[in-house]
Amino acid sequence: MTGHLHPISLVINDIYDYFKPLGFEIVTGPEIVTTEENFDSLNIGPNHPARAEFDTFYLKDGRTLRAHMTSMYLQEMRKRVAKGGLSQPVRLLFPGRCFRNEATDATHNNIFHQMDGLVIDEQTNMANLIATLEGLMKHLIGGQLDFRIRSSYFPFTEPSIELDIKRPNSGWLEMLGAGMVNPNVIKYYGLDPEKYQGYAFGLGLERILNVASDVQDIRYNLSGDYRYLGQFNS
Amino acid sequence: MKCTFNQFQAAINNFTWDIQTLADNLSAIGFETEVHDQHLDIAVLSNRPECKIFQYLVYDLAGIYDLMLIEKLEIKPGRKVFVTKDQVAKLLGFEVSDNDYQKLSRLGFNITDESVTPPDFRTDIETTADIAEEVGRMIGYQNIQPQPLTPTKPQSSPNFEKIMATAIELVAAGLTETRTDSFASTGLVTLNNPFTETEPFLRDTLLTGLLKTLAKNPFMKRAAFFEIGDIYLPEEEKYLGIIMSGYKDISELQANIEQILDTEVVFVDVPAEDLAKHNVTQPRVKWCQIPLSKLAIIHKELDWQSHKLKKIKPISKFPPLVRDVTISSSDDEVKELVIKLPAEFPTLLFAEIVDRYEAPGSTVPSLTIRGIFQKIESSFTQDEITSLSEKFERYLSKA
Repeated sequence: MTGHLHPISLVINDIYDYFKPLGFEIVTGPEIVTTEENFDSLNIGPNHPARAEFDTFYLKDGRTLRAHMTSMYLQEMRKRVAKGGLSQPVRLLFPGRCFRNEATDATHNNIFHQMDGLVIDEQTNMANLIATLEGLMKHLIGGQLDFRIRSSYFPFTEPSIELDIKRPNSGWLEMLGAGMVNPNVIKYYGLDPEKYQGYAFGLGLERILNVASDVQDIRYNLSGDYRYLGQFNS
Repeated sequence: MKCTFNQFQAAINNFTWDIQTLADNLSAIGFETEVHDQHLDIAVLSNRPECKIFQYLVYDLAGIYDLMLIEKLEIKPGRKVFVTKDQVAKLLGFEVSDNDYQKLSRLGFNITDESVTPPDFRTDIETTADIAEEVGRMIGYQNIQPQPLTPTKPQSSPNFEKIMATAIELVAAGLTETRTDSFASTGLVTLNNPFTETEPFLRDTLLTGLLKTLAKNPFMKRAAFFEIGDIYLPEEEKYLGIIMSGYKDISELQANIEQILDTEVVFVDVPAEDLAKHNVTQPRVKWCQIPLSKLAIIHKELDWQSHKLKKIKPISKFPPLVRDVTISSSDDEVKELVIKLPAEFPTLLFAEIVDRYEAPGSTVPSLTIRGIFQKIESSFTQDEITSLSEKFERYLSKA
């Protein structure tokens, strides 16, 4: 009998296949996080609009549902930082479900999936980041691809970039955001930003399905519709 | 400050204002302007933010496009950043030439061997990373030569691999993975600002989502789905939920699942009121739910290779036609037929072998092939259903 892995699981496994030989570890964590994990530790100030209730889901006790997988960094880094240093380089992936209080349509849902990546050591740089992202896109999307790197802004990375891809006979598509981990964030982990540096990126998994599999409506991913699930490889 | 209008126009792509319009718009935000033929005199009247931004804009453009300002505006120094060219190069990952580094001066930055002092209006410049961003933007990130990350020793990811292994093994046993909503109409954890008033809780069971999955597929009389997801009891914990419908005898499937999970699994009937509440029409619905923490780590080497994502067919908003046909034939012959099905049946969404039975003493198995048909533009008419069903059965009986 034929069973089928969920397409989001397929994408996660595919990304893991790319990163595992590079020494990355996948970390899973809770969907409920503190505001420190979701915002404070990521250089997101107290008045940032993302904190507002029209963007983030709050529990009665003040905790939040994670709005992005970047909220997983703090608890993992606290496990790995000791006496102001790292015993080994950090190479982590964080796949999971995220929640944002926004209107739903074919390209937006209040529940969606992301994969974040985090590297921190003493030498990883922007050139490594660009190579990582271009390699990942080739691995996931395949075919002939052109890349464009644009300057961008995220509170937790500096410099920040966005990566676009272009396939033959199509326009530019924005795929993901990334950047060098902001020194304020590195300091928050108890590390010296003069010594440690690294990169972070965040990737929408529904976006990959939209581009690679032509999935036009992201709500299919939580629909349970077998006509959708059954079309993906078992 | 004075600059020629032609230089200004040349510096900004697709700039469509004429010189008088530019002068009028600058006057409207606090600049004193005077137009002389193709020259524009611009005086900064105040320290208003838009004036600072304009100063930055002109210096930024001057830095990139080599504009010659006739008179240089006095720049007040901002906060010094202690940084060296080598530190910037380390962050960016390539050697920054002296020429490129010195271009910062065109932006009003004062550069020494050990520090960079931005103009006072560049309050965003505080760290080495900020200076690196200025340099990177000027050079262009496109022009950075990518350098692959050096592989390091492979790491294990025990929790993830346990989830992945569990899912893969269940799929191999014939179950399909689903993912469902975390919000619920009942539960133990309340949201302060729920998306809808009807679902103000975080789910405390996977059953609701599994039932909704069954309800979404009413034409699949026989089905088996599972979900691995977080529920809130009220503490958050990851659970595996399995639901099946239409099986007269679940013992074989149950035994498979217990072998995979290495634990006893008790399936219970879903109460009739729950089936009715979620519009589930399938017969013999059973389910179970197990905390993932109770499952052992699956250590065996998995026969798994990632599959490249392929383009899927669009899904019709009209109900599908699902037909199961059982024939006695060899596996290879049936697989051959199934591969050729799309060419014979344009409305076929996909087909798959959903069951295999080998009677004791028999040399030829019975295989059940399920075809899922759809029309994008409308539902099937009754005549189309009859004709399609007969054709599907005739085609497969050729085996």
